Amino acid sequence: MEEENWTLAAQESELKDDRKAISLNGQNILLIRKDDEIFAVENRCIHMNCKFTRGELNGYNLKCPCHDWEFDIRSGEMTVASELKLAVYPAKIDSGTIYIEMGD
Amino acid sequence: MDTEKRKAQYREMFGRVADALGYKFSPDEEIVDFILEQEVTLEKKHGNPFCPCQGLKGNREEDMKIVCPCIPFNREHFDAMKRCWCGLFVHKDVEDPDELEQLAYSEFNS
Repeated sequence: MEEENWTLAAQESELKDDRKAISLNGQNILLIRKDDEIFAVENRCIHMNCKFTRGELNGYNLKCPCHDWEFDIRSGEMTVASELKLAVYPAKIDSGTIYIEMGD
Repeated sequence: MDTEKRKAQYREMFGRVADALGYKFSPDEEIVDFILEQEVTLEKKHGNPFCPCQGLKGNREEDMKIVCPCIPFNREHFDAMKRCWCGLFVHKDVEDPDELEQLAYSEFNS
C-alpha cells in the first residue's frame, strides 16, 4: 500500500477568485478551486513558460493567457495534444486547509 | 530583445514541445536559424513568434493557432508531410529534409 505524503499548501481562505499561486519544493503551482474540488497544476505553460494565474477556466480547461493553449486541470493534458502535459498534483481540502501530494 | 538570446530560448522551449510530439528541429541548420530569426522579428513586431510561413488572419482565435510551434493544431496535416509547414520541424526519423514534400492543406484534405 502506497504511503500518502500530503504537504500543507495553503488555507482555503487565502484563495482569491478560487485561485492561489504558490511555490512549494521549488515548484510553481497554481491551486484552483472548482465547485467543491481543489486542483493543483504546474503554473508554467509547456509552450513558452507563461504563468496560468490569470488564465481563463472553461469547464475543466485552463487557457494559457499568452497563446491560448488549453490544458485539462484534471489530467494536465493539452486538449488537442495529450502528449503535452503539465504536472498535476493530487490535492484535497481538509477543514479549510489545502494539502497537495508532491510525491518523492 | 536580443535576437541571438531569444533564438536560443526558442530552441529550448520549442524543442521541448516538438520532442514530445515526435518531431525535432530540421537537420538543415541554415533553415532553422533563418526561420527562428524571422520569428524573433515577428515577436518584436506583433508580440508573438508567429509562424513566418503562414499569414495572420487578424483574429486572435485563429492567429494563436499559428504561434510556433503550431504542430498541435495541424497534427494530421504535418504528420502526413513528416514536417511542419515551414520545415522548421521534421519527424524524428527524417535524415534528409529535402526529400519531404510540402502538401497544401487543400490537397491533403481532399
